[in-house]
Amino acid sequence: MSKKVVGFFLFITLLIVILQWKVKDDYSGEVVNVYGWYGIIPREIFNDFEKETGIKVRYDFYDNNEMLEAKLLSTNNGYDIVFPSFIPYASRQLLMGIYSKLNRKLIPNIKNIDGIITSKFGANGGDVQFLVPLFWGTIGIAYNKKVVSQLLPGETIDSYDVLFDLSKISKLFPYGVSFPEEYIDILPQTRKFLQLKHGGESVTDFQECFRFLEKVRPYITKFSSTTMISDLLSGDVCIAIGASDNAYRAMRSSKAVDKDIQYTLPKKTGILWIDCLGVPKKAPNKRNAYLLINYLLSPEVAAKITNHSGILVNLPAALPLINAEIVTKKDICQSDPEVLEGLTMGCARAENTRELIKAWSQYKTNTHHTSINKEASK
Amino acid sequence: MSSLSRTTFASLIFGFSFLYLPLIFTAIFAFSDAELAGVWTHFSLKWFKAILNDEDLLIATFTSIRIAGISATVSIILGTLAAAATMNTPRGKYDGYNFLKRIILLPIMIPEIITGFSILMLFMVIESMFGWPKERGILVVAAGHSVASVAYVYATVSSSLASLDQSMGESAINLGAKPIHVFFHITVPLSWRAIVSGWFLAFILSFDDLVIASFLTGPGTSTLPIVIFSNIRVGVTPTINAFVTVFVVITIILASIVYFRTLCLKGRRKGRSATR
Repeated sequence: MSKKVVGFFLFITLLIVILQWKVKDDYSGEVVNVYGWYGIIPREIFNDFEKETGIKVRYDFYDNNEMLEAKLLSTNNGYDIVFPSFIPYASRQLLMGIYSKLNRKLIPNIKNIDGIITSKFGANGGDVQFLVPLFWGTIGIAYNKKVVSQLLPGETIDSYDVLFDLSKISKLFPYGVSFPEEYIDILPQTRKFLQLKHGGESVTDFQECFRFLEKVRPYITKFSSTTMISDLLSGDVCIAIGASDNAYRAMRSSKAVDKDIQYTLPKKTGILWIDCLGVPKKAPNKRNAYLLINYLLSPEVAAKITNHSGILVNLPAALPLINAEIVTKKDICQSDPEVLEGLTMGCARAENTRELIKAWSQYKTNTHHTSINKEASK
Repeated sequence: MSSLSRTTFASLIFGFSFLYLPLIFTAIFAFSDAELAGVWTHFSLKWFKAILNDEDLLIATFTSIRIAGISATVSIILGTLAAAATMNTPRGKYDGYNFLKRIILLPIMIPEIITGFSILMLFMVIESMFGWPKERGILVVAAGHSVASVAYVYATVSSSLASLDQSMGESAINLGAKPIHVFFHITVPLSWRAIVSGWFLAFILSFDDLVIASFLTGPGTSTLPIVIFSNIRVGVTPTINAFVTVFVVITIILASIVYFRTLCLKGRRKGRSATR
């Protein structure tokens, strides 16, 4: 019996030695630590970058912006490149001074980033000195064409009318209606839909939005942004408000399950979202980070990302290299400057964030009369 | 089977299906050709091939195994020592020991999210004071997992020690053995089964953990649960199903090997005692 014990402890010691030795191995040499979403950038791109420069890419994943923000705010997180969503996350992180100024000499390809998306990014508080607005997309309506046209014959889905008109949404309700998980993806277009005045982001405006949304609440069956693809494909919902890249992925796999998924970007009430690239101030390998950013900003590499995950890149030069399958879907790959110019970009003001989050979570859990409305009635 | 009544049999089926139906469904959809988990089109093995190409998943698996190995080993050493120290004391000699036993078990009661957060705070403080650890690597996550699993190891090992005859250790000490000899020659050999199962318990606890890991991970330490969880955002692909299936099959094979070996050993022992 004693031999077994000795054997077991020997095994354990051996294990520790092996594991430790592998750990040491990982820390040697040039590395760049990337913290990003899962499934956006294919591994091949990092492997190619490794072959070209000898810099090892360590890629880690988060599944929501809050996680990323928590890591960024805690000291010495060790990441060199992160991919925050612009509004409201990166815009407020910018104000906190989390990001370091980019060394544009080491990123010559930054000239490829240009156009309407970048100017909209700048107009809404973004700063290309610190962040690279690389990925973008829109928020619109994705729906199962067969089901929706049966329920609402003759209806063309091109505005939020279909979801905000009680006589219409009540017909869609039995087949499932999905709204976004975050208020940021629904309030701006509601406000625009209500044709409220521009610029006024005071609570009174959002009170009206909530009061309006309250009427629709009984017909919403789900609040989710992440499961939109599988919800549409499995038939859990027939219509969903969501991001264009998710909608594209749903469309891509819809043939296999014999469904016709469509995406429409309401012309006047669409939302533009941007995911940026940033280098935290305390990044240990800044030079390598710049090299990798430069690599990602070359049109060939950027087009590879779009072809892999369906997420659009803000590089006009990459457009000819993107699969026709994506480019031909006009609403997914929107290129009409007039439409792009008309898109809204979230509700950026930070002061009422807390109130909005509270009101939104009450709205989601269906606690009637959200706190904002209560205050109004006082 | 004849001794089972119909109701017992039905509740048996119900109980087992409650436990294993989820796994069975996961495994079935691993063989579907569809791009999304939970949608059946037709039979295909492509997702099993896809595992081999999914570098992220493989790297994360290896990271998880490393973290779980280190944390299980650390916690088995600490847990066994703690168990031996608290269980081997002559009763009534140290009243404080009862209090100590409760303290060691406390981490089981503390929610993981609090454990994770406090360990993160601890490392942040240590780092600002001593400049170490520079980076939240594998060792930091393993340390966090050890904190959580020492208590489980302690519970397993100490319950086995409690059933040991205390007089063996006492007589060894009477005959002049040092406590360390008692530990290595009596305590450990007699409770090695509990120690090994404690090791595996700690391994699984660490392998499975998402909460503590998401607080503590730094560059290069995305564990398997973190990767699977962030995978959900882009819609779970059946690669995960296939991966889970492979894992379950490996576990079943290992468990059956252990089971049949024990059966063989028991048979041999019975045979031996019969010839005597």
